[in-house]
Amino acid sequence: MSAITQDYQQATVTFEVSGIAAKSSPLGAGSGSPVAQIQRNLVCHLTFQAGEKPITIRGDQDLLKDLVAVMRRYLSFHLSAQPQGTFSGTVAIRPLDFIFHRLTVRQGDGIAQIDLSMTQIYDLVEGLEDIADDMPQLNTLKSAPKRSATGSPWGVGIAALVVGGVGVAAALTVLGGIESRRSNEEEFLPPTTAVQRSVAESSSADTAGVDNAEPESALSQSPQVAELDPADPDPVGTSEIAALPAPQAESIVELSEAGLVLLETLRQEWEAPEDFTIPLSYVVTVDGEGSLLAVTPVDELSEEGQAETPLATVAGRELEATLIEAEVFNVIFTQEQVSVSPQQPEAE
Amino acid sequence: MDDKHPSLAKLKLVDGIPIPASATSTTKVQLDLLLLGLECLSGESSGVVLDAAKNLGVDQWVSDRVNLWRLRNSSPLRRSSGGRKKLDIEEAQALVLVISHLAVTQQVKIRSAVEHLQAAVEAERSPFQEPQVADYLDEFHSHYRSQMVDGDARSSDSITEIGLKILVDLLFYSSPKRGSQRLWQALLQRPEMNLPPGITEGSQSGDADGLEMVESAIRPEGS
Repeated sequence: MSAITQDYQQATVTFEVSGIAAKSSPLGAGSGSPVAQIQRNLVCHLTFQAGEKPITIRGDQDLLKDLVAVMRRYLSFHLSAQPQGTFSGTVAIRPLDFIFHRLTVRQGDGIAQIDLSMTQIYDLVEGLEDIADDMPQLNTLKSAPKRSATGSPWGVGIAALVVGGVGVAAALTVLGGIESRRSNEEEFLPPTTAVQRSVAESSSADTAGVDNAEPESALSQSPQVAELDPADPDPVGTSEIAALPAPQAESIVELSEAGLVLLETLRQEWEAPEDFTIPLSYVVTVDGEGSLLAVTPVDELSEEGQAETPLATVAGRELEATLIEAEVFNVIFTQEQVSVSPQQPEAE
Repeated sequence: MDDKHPSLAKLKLVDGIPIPASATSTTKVQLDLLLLGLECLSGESSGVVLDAAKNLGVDQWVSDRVNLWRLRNSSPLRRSSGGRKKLDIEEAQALVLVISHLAVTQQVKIRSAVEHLQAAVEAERSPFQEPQVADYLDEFHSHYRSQMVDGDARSSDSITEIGLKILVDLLFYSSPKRGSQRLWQALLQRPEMNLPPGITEGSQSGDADGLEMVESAIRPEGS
């Protein structure tokens, strides 16, 4: 066995791919590139060079595979005149306008966001394709064991960030307004808490870049559930919402301010239809003031029923999203009430 | 496509997408607009297209100025009524190779223009305030107005949007390794456009509002 490292250089993005090669790897034979020999422990670093300081994203073969798949699909959408956000696993991307795009990558317990220009998109795609060409074995490399054996709610979370973005670009034209954008600056969002930093503050907080970044412990909060009917803490029945973590009724205390705003808004606007029987469940991302950023139905039934819920009428608010502050909640509509609970982190 | 001419063999099949016998209206429009974009960037004439076709071994489809004029006038958006309306798929493929080849040779210029465009958008300035982009757009406006059937009716902003979208697309087609396949795949995957009122071709109804699909490429879904 031997360690292999190879760099790929584009004008605005550099890639470093490393891993362990098997002693004799038939898959790598004849491919001409050292990385074709990598069979395990793959690590990739992507460093975006533009801006005042480099931004690095680090991950394993899953990140690399997701990046390749997502960027291929995204570029295909763009060039075939059907621009739209897309996601896969740990990676999501969506258009901000016809030039800039927001790449969202799950990094450990948080999320890295980088706004990319068209030339950066070009460089990213070219580099990824070079790597994919050199690594025919990439899709067969085994994934690293996941920390949680259960379905990760973050798969939904990444999707939510994409769904929210498709609409963002809709209001933009070449000569018109531009969504608030923090070019070449990433945000790192722990999954269950609001990260309340100004853009100015983030420059010092991000000195380590995304690489090696960890959620700020001071921001950690215990999962909390708030419901309108405390006498019935689990009105839904978890069998109906298997994709969501079960509300922890015993820990009912209070929601964050954003959560309370969301809850109050939904409570005021929710009126169940007469024939409403099965609960509808969503993963909802809001900003620090409780305004809706993105909504992802948990299942097909919830998707079909979204137009009947208040989440349909507030969808336009996502146009103002900057994601400087963001919180993710599980929202469940039942015949009698609305429940809102913070998205829970993965089990350690 | 198994008996494809060797020069066209570089363009591979795209999974799940059949190859039509002749180019669609969307394909014809896109190929013509991309050639227009390259002309506006470089200021070069059709001579470079013919030279490229010869170097690529596709000059049996793109042979001389008259032939090239006819191919480009297959675009239903062209004002001239003298061109034929059919574009064989091999002719379309030859143009794909020529366009990506020219984009590669002009990559520095394309990338520089896109970078200036990005700077303008970033600063919320008009692209016309960036000289390199402005020169390109002025050329694009002039040619579009004089050569396209809806050139008189289309707003200035709309033509600007089309020109900028073409410029950005050319960046991706300027990849030496992947540009031609990218363009070929994009053409095959592109939804069929609606033609301006009064223009019909084949199955086109011609009853919609102009270059809908070209514009939709500029305004992301949902606009």
